[in-house]
Amino acid sequence: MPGTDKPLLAHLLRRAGFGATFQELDRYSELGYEATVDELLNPERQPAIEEDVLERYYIDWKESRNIEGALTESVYRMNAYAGGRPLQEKIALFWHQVFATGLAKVLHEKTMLNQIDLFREQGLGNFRDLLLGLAKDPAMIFWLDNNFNHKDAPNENWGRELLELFSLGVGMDGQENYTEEDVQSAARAFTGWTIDDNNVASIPFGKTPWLFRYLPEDHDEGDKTFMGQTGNFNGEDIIDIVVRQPAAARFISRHLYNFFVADEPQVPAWQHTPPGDPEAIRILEEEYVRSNYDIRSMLKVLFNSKFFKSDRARFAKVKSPAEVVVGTLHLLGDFKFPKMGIYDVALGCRYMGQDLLNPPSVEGWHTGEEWIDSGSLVERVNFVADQVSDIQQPGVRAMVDTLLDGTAELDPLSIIDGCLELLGHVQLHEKNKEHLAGEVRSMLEKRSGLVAGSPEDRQVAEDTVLHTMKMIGSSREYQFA
Amino acid sequence: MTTEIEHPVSQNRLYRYHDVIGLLSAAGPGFSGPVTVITGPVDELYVANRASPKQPEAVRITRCTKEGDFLEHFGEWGEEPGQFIWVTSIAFSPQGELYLADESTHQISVFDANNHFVRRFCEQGSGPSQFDRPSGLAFGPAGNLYVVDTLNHRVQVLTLEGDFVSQWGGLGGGDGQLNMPWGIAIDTLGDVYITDWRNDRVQKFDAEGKFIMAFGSSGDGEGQFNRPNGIAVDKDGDIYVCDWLNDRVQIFDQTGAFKDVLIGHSGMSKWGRTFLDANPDIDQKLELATQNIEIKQRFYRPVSVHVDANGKVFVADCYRHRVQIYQKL
Amino acid sequence: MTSTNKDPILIVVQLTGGNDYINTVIPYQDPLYYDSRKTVSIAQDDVLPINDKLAFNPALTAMKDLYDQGKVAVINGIGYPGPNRSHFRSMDIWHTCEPEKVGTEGWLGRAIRDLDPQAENVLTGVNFGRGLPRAMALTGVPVASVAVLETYGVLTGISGEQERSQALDLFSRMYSPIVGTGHVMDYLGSTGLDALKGADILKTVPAQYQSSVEYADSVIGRNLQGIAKVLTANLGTRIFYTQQPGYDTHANQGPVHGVLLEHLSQAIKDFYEDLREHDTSENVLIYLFTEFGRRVKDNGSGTDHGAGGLAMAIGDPVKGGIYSEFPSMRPEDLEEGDLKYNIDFRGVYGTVAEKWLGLDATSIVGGNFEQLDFV
Repeated sequence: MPGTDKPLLAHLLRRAGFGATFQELDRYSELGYEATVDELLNPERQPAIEEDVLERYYIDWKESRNIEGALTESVYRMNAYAGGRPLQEKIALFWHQVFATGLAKVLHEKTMLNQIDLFREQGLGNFRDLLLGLAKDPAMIFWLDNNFNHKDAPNENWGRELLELFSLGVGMDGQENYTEEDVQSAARAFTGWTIDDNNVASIPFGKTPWLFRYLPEDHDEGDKTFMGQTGNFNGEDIIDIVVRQPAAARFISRHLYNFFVADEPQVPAWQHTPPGDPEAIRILEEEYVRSNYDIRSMLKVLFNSKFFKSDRARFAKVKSPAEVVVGTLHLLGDFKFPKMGIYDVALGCRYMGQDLLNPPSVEGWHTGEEWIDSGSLVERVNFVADQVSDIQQPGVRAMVDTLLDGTAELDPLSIIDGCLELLGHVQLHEKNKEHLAGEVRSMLEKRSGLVAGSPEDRQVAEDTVLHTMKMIGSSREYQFA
Repeated sequence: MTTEIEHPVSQNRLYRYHDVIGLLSAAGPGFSGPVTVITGPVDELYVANRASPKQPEAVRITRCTKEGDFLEHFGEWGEEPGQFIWVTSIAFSPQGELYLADESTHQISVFDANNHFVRRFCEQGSGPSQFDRPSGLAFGPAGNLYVVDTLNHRVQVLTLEGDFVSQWGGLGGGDGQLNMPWGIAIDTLGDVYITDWRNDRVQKFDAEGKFIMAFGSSGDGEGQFNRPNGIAVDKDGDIYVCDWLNDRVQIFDQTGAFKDVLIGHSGMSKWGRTFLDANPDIDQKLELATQNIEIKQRFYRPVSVHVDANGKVFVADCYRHRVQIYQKL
Repeated sequence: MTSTNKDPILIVVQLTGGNDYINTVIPYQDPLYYDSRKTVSIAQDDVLPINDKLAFNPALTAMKDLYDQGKVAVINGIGYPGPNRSHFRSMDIWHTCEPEKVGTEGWLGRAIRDLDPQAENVLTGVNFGRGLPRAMALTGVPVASVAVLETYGVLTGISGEQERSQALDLFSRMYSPIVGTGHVMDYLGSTGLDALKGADILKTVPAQYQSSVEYADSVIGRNLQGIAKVLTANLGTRIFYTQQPGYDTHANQGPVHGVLLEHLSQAIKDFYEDLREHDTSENVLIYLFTEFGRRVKDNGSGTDHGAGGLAMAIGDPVKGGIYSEFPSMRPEDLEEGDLKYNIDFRGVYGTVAEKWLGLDATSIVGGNFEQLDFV
């Protein structure tokens, strides 16, 4: 069979996952593009990671008052699945960015991690079911105060954000999607959807898990008028009406495009700003409706589409900090088994501007180019540069050996091109290649006078390759996925 | 007046719940992720706290009476001599020194009778006197130190100075083979019991490492385990096994036959009561909490079990930051 | 107006989440306050009166000290027409001065540009915190976003001095502009180069700083101390920014809000002591704001998003006192349950931009708005 386009596969894995090592790309290339998409879309068919070992060494990190422990546990888990079930993790990250819930308020690590598990398990399934799961998720209920949404004293927070941020958006094509009355009706419909023990303290004996509880006596049984319909609506009815709206098709399609295809303007602009590729959005909207709101079906269409494979989509997204951190760890083959040090590495995500499990507000993070500012750029550059030049890492060792053993003549371009390919078919602008080539040339000059094949010669060659990878990792181009 | 409800008995009525000591705290009267509990030289308790990197100040050894009165804590997080990172196990030598296994630095540290650091030995590796994440510690009848060398899937016997004596094990599922073993107990006859963590079983050896018997399999039924960790043997020869992911402690006789199971019946501890009295708003919230009482009582990842000369059974209830105490009847 | 030879410096502190105006500056004599807020109102005996109608929240003791010294201007009823109750949107409005459409240019970005049109000093604007606030965003305006001052720098992992300097040289070449690579690549390029420049300068700051002030332990305290370090190093920074999150008190407001206010007011007091110790307090102005106030009526546990809110200006240059009218809480005077605003926030920004920084207010805030007299 003709060699499957590896740069295309690398692009697919950067989007559906956290990038692939060169060995993984070999395997996917044998499999072929469509079969790879199929494997990615069904992560549950791949083996689970070893949970016992994770809990054995990272004792108590999911449980006690330990926000950073939960963040670390998440990074470990994403990295652990980056090889076998990358889309499971990516879709969980996607929904976490859309349904942004913050641990600094929830303050209940296990409950928050359970919410992310909901996204792992149902994130590729039916959107209506996912919204229903979200409405009953104890972390979400607490986060948006639905436990204080009572029949005689409604609290609008969840009702508003469900419409504004989780399903419809404020407006579409210049029109508004819902009214203040709709918000109030939604809030009333969700009265009684509460949790058990929202206030249990972590002292004396640690926290106990929160559970969803429905209190019929606290539910407003009156008629509500919602999106032009009237009835004694309960939460499920609101969700049923919401997912049927064309605005929902548009909103989800734009979110999927923004996360998996190319960076778009920030969400609040969507009411007045049309999508960058209206045809792509239309295709996705159609699939939303045809498949009865099935995310897996939409992603299958997306990954197999012309617009996804086009040049325009390549490197059209700025990596989120999670992708920088986990993508790098996966490339290196690091932390595939629990050990000390994951804590500091995971916190890098926070310093790069993405405090996982703790977005700044329910509106989530500003993404795309807004991940970058002089602060976060420095963090990203330093992190990647430090990691990829560590030859003790199995992934780095494999890349260096493969390049050196597979290249007859070591010259600057063959080293640079070799590194670019091994780092995931990354590209560098010609001018930047020239700059880098100058540096590589001067490093290679240290070989003159050394016996070819000697340990000293090998050392210089290795150092040169490592330095090349470090500078590629520090480049502007490397910030894109 | 004690009531049956406050002091319930175990499933087969061989043990009665006695008391609980604990409170989630980074210092003072309290524990943070307790992973080992043993009896100290004046019949007090020593509890090793694992904590987490976010709170390195909470990593310590806590001393308290068996009645729940705080005495002191000592030790701190770090890699310098006298410090520790991932404490797994502590044990007293026949000479009264405290030995501590650290599975991050791969070393054994020794503290004197005043809890001052004396020395440490060994290093990472797979050779003699080297470890790869050492966990359980125990002292044998000849006065040697037995260390469960987890990622080398073996048990090593060393002198008290750390010189290699012998070893046995090797990765596998057959008799005498081990897979990430965790805990160790040595009975009065010198026989060695190892919790073979990833093989979900207990193996018994003589003091030289010759295989005697094994029992247990994967599952949650009686006599089955889901990653057993802590282990202890009492003076009657009964074997206590922390069945970690099944959140229980099972007790077996010398033939490996199931005798009873402990699931946790914790009430409120002294330290907990003191804290709540000082924070009535939290106390009130706990009162109002309608969540199932059972969940609050039950073990949540018991890691270590220890039986003293009076038949008191101490269980380090790790994720609940307490030690639950049962009395053998 | 400034009465000093030193360049005026502005520090903007963002209270993120929507600080509850009515519980920060409390109309403690108004029965409507207690009637509307059966759960979250502060007891009349506990408040700290600043005049016969208004009082500070009891957690603001340190702020009250500063107020008594005449250093605090309380600006009542600040807002804008057509209030938006969404965090993202409302905060963006405060950052960009664009209530009607989505703006991407920050008012402080414009101010930095006006102060330093050629971008000669990459440290004209410094943000203490992660990420760049939109208020400071403007294409072509470099801003250093410092999370931790002591470890700020590029390619700090390269140890040998010569190797590091070579690598940084290569880095700056690879980040130089290339025509035709698109807007994001350009942005990355200039951001990288500015970061290099700024890092070189900032790395000298921690060693120079000396102070006897012990800041109380809080995140806002740490950030203000970081600002003090850079400010007293006299690097030419004119605009500082930082934020204190957590004000979105829909529920359980009582304990949460009190702690935030206590941390805030103590941190500001510590900061001012630090400035005075360095003899550099007379040209520093702190401006506090939030994205909206909260509803008049509580929801039984906290308060929901509102409209008209509170801002404060603090410092030696301030003419302390109370500015603008506290909005009426009478039901007939409310707008959809929220306080109406009495002064457009853009006028207050304008005051700061013009009377303090000496810039042209109109181009910075996008129009002419009523200014106040607090500086």
